[in-house]
Amino acid sequence: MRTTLPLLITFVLGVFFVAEFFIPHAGIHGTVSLLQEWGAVLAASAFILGGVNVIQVNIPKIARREKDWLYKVVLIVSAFTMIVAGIINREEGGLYNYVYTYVYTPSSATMFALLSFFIASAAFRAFRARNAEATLMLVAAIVVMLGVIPLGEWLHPTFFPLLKDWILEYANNAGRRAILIGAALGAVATGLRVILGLERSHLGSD
Amino acid sequence: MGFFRREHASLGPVLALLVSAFSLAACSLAATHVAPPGQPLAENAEALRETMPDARTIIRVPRSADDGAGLDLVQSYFLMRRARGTQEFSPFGYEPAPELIAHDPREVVFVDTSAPATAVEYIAYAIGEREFATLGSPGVVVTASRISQPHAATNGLPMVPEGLDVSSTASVTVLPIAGDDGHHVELRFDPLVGPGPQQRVNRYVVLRASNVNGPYTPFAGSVVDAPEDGARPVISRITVPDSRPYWFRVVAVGNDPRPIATLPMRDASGVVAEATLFNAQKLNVAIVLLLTISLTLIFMELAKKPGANIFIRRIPGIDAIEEAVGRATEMGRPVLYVPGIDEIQNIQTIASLLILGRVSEIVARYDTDILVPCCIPLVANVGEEVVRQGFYDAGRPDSHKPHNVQWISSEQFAFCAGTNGIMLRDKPATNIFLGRFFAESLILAETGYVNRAIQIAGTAEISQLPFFIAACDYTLIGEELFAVSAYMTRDPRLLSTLKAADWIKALVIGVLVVSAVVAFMSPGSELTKTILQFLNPGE
Repeated sequence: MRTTLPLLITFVLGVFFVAEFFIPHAGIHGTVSLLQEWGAVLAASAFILGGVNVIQVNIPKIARREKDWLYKVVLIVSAFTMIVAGIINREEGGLYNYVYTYVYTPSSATMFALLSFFIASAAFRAFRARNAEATLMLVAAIVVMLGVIPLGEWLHPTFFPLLKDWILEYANNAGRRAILIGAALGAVATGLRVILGLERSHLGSD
Repeated sequence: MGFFRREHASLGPVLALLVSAFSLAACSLAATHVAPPGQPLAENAEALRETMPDARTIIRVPRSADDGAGLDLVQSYFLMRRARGTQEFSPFGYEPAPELIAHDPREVVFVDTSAPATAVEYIAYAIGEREFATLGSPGVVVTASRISQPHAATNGLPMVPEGLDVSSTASVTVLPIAGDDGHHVELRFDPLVGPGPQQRVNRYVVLRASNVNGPYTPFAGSVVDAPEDGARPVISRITVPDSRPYWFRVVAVGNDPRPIATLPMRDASGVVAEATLFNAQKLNVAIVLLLTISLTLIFMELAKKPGANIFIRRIPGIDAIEEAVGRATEMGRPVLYVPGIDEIQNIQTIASLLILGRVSEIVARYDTDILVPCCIPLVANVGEEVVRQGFYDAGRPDSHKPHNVQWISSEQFAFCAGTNGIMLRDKPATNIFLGRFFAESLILAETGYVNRAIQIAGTAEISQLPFFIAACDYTLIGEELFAVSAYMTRDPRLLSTLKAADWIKALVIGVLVVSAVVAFMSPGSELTKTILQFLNPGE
């Protein structure tokens, strides 16, 4: 029963949502809207489970003074402070908005900014001409780079920008679309496996 | 501290269940208090008006008290006026535009600069859209706020619209839309060109009535901007509340406070939105889907025959998973598995959770640890169940450590920082990134590279694939991500779906090649048009 019922619900709702894609009738849309509202409410409620998970993972480690336990104290105190601040006052100028604007946002921007350095180091490794394919990629990358920087235009006003456009519009686009078509069909196959109950590992333990 | 012990873990789900039930009940109750679309919420709301020394009229309308009563939110307000003693209210030009010009929480302020000579009456409408409603469904809330004492101006322009010299053929064609849900009609008319700059049409206000004699009222999406070039017909998709007949008229409005012209509806019998049961524009998708299902069923039947062998090409990235888990075991370090950062309903996340079950089983067989940091709480909850099932299937349920599946944060870079912290502190020997990733993909993969872990990544997010290819040892590209689960189990029934997808892919390639050849040989032929129409019916 514990497996059969979820499989039945998955099948019925799966078929319903596939049918909904093809049936524009408003009656179907009303039901879909209702189900989506339920889904949104359930997803929001899962944050409670997330909070419980954070506490259950970190508090015992603090209690046992495990390695790096101080970081976990910072995590719990920060989370608790933000929850309380958010409940008390979410208005402009309040603690919640202040911390979000002046602590979280700059920290997040810092993480994002690190990406540029990671791109440089990854590109350095990826563009080493170890074999024919890597050499081809290296040449294409150099052409594309020359096509977008002033140096390329200085070397030749039209050659590198045009070649860059050709590589991006044709060679790159062809590859992207091939991957997209394959991924879309793969997604359909995965959806079918789940709807038909062939895949069951997501149903959890018996 | 008792609450934090694992044996009390069931309290969390119970709590979440109670909150969910409460929230659903609250939503249902709130929904019952929402007035039906088109019905007045605050019929008796009074409006004030002040006549300024420069003959402008300021109209102050109290904001609807029901703005937030249910799930309906008032998004904008709209003002119309009529000469006293006449029947019809009509839109008129504002300077400034008829949006909110004051952000007072208690009232909305409109300014009528025209100073009409005759007594006029105003009517204000609050226009909203139902929250959580599907796109295009009716959600118009109309609130009438009438002025109790009509204002008589002493000077200024006459109120009665003079209008342009619109020819008798100028009218609005309104037709039902093919493949519609029964809540939209298409409105089409030729744009008007005024004789001078003062009468240049800036926008068109579409008014709707449930009776041929009116009243005609505005609704969400009433205002249609005039096209820049003025040459093409104006086409607008208009929402109607239900499948009853409706009548429309379009009022051209410009800089002049008076309406420039009113276009009547061509068909006096009204228009009824048609709800259809099958969207013919999606016929191509339906054919592909039916073919996929049919082929899957055929291959499943073939797989049942003795000696049947479904060939699937070797995918090195998947073969490397067991090897990588073995390496982690030898090094005495955990395996890190990141199921992407998208919501659970995303197909890539679903595929990743299916793979997580297989990987957990291997990890359990090797008696090592698996760490699963999650960005979405629901993914973390399902992930824990999936990992538990994997350990159970491997015959090692006692080895499962629930706290190894943890929710980090729903914020992208906070999650990224937390996961990087796990990598640097716990030093996993194997990192598996499967699912939907965005900008954090390279930060995660480069941190793993610095950590000298074996890295296997897979995503169908094309913009992130180059990052994974550059920083990881193995990358599953696009469709390979969706094939992992079936590939690992070697279950003929699961492999049947891969085989069916491969055949459909071959069919798609064939259609593309034939279409390209036909389009190249005869670009404007009927055959080319038919093929293009089938492949892209929306065009």
